[in-house]
Amino acid sequence: MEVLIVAVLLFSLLSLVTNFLVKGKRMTVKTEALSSLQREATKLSRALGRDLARACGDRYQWGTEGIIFLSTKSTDSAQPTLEFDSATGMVLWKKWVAYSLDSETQTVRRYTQDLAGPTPDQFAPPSAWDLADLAGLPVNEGKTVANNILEFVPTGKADSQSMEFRIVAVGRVPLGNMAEKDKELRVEIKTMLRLGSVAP
Amino acid sequence: MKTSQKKRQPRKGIVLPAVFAVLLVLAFVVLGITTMSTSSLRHTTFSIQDDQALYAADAGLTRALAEYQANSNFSDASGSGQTVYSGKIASTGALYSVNLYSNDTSAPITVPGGAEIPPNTALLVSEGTTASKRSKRRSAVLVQKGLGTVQVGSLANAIKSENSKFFAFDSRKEAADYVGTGVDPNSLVSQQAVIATNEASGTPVELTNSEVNGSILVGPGGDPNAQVSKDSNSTTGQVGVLTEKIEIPDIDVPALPADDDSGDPPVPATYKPTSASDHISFSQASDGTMTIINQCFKCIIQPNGDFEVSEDAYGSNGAKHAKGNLLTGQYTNLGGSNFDIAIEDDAFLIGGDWHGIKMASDGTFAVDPPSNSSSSVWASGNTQTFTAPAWVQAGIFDKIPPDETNPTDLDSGYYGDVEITSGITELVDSSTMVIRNLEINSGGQLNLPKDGKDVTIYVTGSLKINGLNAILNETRSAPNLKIYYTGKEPVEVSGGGSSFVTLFAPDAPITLSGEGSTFYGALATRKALTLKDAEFYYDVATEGVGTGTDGTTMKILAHQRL
Repeated sequence: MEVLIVAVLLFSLLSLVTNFLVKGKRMTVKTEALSSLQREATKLSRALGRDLARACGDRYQWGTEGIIFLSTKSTDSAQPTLEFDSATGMVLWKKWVAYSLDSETQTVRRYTQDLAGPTPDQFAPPSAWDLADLAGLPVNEGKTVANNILEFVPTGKADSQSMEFRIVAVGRVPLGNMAEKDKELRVEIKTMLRLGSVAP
Repeated sequence: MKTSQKKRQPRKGIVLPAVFAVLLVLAFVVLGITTMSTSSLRHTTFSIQDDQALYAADAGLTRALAEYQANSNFSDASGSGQTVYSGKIASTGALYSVNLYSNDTSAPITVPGGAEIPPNTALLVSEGTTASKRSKRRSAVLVQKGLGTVQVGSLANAIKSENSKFFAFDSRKEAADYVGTGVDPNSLVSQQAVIATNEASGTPVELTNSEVNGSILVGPGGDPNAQVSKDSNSTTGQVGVLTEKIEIPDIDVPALPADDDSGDPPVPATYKPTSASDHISFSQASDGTMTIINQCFKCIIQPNGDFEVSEDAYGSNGAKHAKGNLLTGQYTNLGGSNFDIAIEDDAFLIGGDWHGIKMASDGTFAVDPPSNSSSSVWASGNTQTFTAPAWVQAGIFDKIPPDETNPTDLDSGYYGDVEITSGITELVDSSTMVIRNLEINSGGQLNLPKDGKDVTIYVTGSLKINGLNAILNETRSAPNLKIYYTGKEPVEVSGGGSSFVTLFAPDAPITLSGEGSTFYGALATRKALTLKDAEFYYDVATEGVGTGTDGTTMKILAHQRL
């Protein structure tokens, strides 16, 4: 009799613990997935923010494919961090930067192409790429910035010093239950990214 | 008695192990969650601190810029990279410090880090640090400072430049034996060719394929971006806005002692016309000043030739008022409507609304009577003639300025028409001359010898300077040769290799033209200044044609977050 009672109690306890662990795991997985998506969106936001701090509000083009802009930061670390045109004081452009969104893999890659040398604005060459070119850029030449990105676009809210971006990251959470389908999660952030250079 | 004792069997339960197992599992779960949370917290903390550092850096910059905007001065900054501001963000404890690198020279300078900054700019680098010192971010801004107070090399209400260039040089720094093309390269002054207009609307400055190696100032309240028009082939330095207009004063033509003038005033005499008149009266003061009162106007003539005439408003015509000098031929209408005035070699004529007067070298005054109905014309129709006082004849018409054609030299004095069409006319050292009409045509040359200096020419009628080297200033210094033109006819200067001149022509448009035409000095007009295929070198030794203050305090050229 005692054994039976203990067995029942133990079974109940184990069931409770198991149920707790399963629920906890689901919550953990979901939280981790959401956290991961947010981390991806944040990574993209931070990377974009760092690059746009060296860009100019009048010197970019964007679309659903990505964004292309001139940057004052050189890939050559030997070059000065800051350089200005000694006659006009305007920034000297060093390279083109592109953030390309691969809609199939939901991956954002960053591409750069150096200019021939530090170039004043009035002599800046035409864009290294068109938006339509972004999809065809070699995957191995780009640096993966973030995954699970559905879209990242300026919202249109902008001034001369900053512009707002909407970044949407999506992912699926395996819930570990045959009866349930994976659940789709979506994280959307809107963030004002500051621009660095001033339009001439 | 035998008692049986049951051997006590040790009990074996699974509760305790089960509890331990559960606790162990829970411990792992908690550990895992804690690890994840710690990692996430660390990431978030780093992100927050990075942002705090950046915002602290930006706050420092904002404070520095606000200070400069308000005071046009970075507090006690000497411009050598010193820390001008430091502070703390109250809410986060983040710190900032702002370093200033100011370029007050006329050439670019290199600041630590390798960046070159242009003249008249300041680089502010703000570093933000979190309270924990874990994160540091920098934010830098390059600002163009206002021009401050500058001397203007060329001033006009409208400036139009086609295929032309503006430079600045200092004639005092030219090598004494310099003979090359243009100016001595060592005398060039970077970015100091200041051109200005008082206009604050429209597009008073138009540059087509032109280069301004210096600054442009537009009129008070103007917009530099709107008032200065330049095509894609044109370049200019800084553009500012004048705090107040630069006035070009009226030219005051001096009274020069003539050779036959003892300096004594005419003998006072009471003058009365020889014929009776019912509408004109003459009177003469003890100093010789003569007053003629017509039915409509009053004219006062002094022995030195100065005259002033005035007339009340008539009908829709405003009151008339004019001043001038019979000897120099210069006069200015100052009233609401104008007199008809003509100053000729042998006559002085004034026409008011209905009546006029003609004072002639034959000693007569011709006055039109009340019945005359010709308006705005002097002494037309029926006239009455009176005998003028003797001093008019002796003091004015007997000193008719001579005309000169291709003179070998020009010394101080009054001249009528001076025409130089061939040969060289040397200007006498330290001389001042008043010329009614000056014309230098192709082949002729007005020459200031190498040892000449302090020559001033006043031109009151018309000024025409055509031909390469029509003005040859061998001193190569514009302050040594000044031309003041009081007339209104357009002035065209073809320039030449050594046209070093300061030219004031307040009421006349000026054109510098001709392939390769070069002009050195300073220019001022209230009308238009036009350059076509020409180069203008502002000689800073002239100290300009005026002083202008740029009301612009600063302009942000570039902003970088590092």
